[in-house]
Amino acid sequence: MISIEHVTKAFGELSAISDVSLEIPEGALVALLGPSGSGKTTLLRVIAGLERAQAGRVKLAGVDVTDAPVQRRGIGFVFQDYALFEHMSVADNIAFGLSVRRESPHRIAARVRELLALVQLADLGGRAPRELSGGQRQRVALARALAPAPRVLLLDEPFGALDARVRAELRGWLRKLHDDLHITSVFVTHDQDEALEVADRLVVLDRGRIEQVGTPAEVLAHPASAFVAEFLGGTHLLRGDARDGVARFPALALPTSGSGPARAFVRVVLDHST
Amino acid sequence: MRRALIVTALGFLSIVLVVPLAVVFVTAFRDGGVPYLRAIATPEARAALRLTLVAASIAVPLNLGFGIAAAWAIARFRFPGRRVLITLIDLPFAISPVVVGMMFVLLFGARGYLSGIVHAKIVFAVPGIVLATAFVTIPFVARELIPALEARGPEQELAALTLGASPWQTFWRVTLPTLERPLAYGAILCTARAIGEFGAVSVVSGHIRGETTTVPLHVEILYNDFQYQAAFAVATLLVVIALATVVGQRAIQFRQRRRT
Repeated sequence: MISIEHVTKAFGELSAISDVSLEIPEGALVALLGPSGSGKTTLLRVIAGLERAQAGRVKLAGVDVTDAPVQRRGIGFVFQDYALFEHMSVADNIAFGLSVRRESPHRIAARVRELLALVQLADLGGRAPRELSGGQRQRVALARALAPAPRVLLLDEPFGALDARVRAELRGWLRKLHDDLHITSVFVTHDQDEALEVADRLVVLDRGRIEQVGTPAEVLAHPASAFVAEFLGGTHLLRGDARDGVARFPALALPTSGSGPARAFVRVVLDHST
Repeated sequence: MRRALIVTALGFLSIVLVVPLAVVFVTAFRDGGVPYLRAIATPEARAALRLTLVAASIAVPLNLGFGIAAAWAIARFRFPGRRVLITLIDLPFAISPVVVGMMFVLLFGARGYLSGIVHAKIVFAVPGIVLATAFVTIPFVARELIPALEARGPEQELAALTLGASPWQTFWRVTLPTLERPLAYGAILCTARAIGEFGAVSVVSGHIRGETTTVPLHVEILYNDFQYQAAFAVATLLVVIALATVVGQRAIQFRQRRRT
């Protein structure tokens, strides 16, 4: 479980996230969704320990890790551009997290074989990272992050740098991997389709604040704010006027207590039951 | 047009580079191979070569250590004084070597500012020569490493930390191996300059034959004694080192191109 309590982080004058609180249950696959500048990557890096929060606490599995360095947090991190060690083979990349812990060579070799098989790269252990395709590099990065058996897996825009076909394939694959391993996972994305398809829970962020937390179905059915409705897409904006208890639109009137300019977000749902 | 450019370039190079280099070798072997060998085997010449190698083998590792530390700090951290440090690293390029030599004489000489504190003999002795050599070779390693580190970015190092590596493990296993080529490049340039340095070393040396003369100083002494053949014979050692430097650089560039 990951608990984030009133976390604030600013870079100089620029506030990245302000007073964010969030609970991520054990074994969940959560998407941090938002436009660029919403603070989603900063939040991920604060959980990882790659950024230090100015205020608030971060707890992993009940242990307060706010002041723990990144090495002691038991997290696995997949960087947006993978950050593979270019001077090492694929197998050595995956072995790195184990060899810095001085595991026996025998156990390291066994674990590397197991992980290579898991990410379907069994024959490519001897290759150099630059000899791999984008999708393969992504899977090496994932295997490397999983090798030391982290409690939490954090992924920064995991599909960002891939072309559309590989992307669709890897989404399904990541979902399946999570179903097999049940490791608590958090990934950052700006792509609502990706978030809706892969995650069991969405955290929608805008300008450093959480707008809504919920399952994809909940967030789709009941967007908590105009921003969420708009960001999820598939909605149409109508502009009209609210007066005398009714918001009137050119082709629509809704009861309301407010008055002044009014906006309505309309989602078209195809209902085949009738 | 193209022809004219090529002829101009080659003509210029042969007048200022190839012909003088040829003269060095022609003069060195003017009297045949035996006098050549005799000139580079005199006790003074051998002492000069030994001193040059001692100075280089202290100055180069010193500046490798300093260059790595300074480049890492500059490329990876933002701290007060960072800009000043970048400027300071370049300073030895800007200061005339003669002035560098005079600085050390003023500091450590018989009536120098530090002569009351430091009693060891530094100026007109080996330590002074090592210090002067180290000073003039400060920029080479750091100057090669900073752009290499900045181009690579910190991601691989951060990845190592997330995998549980200590900062020290990260440095040895991730940072240093990826710097192999710029490091070799910087070390070669640093070594060439350490061996060839004349001005600063000349001022602090005191020209005690067989004791405080390096190879370039020995060449000067022989030349001033009108022993041209011997002077040029010893000078060929410096030319060979210079050529080896250029070949070494090329080899590193070639390997780099093949690997990328």
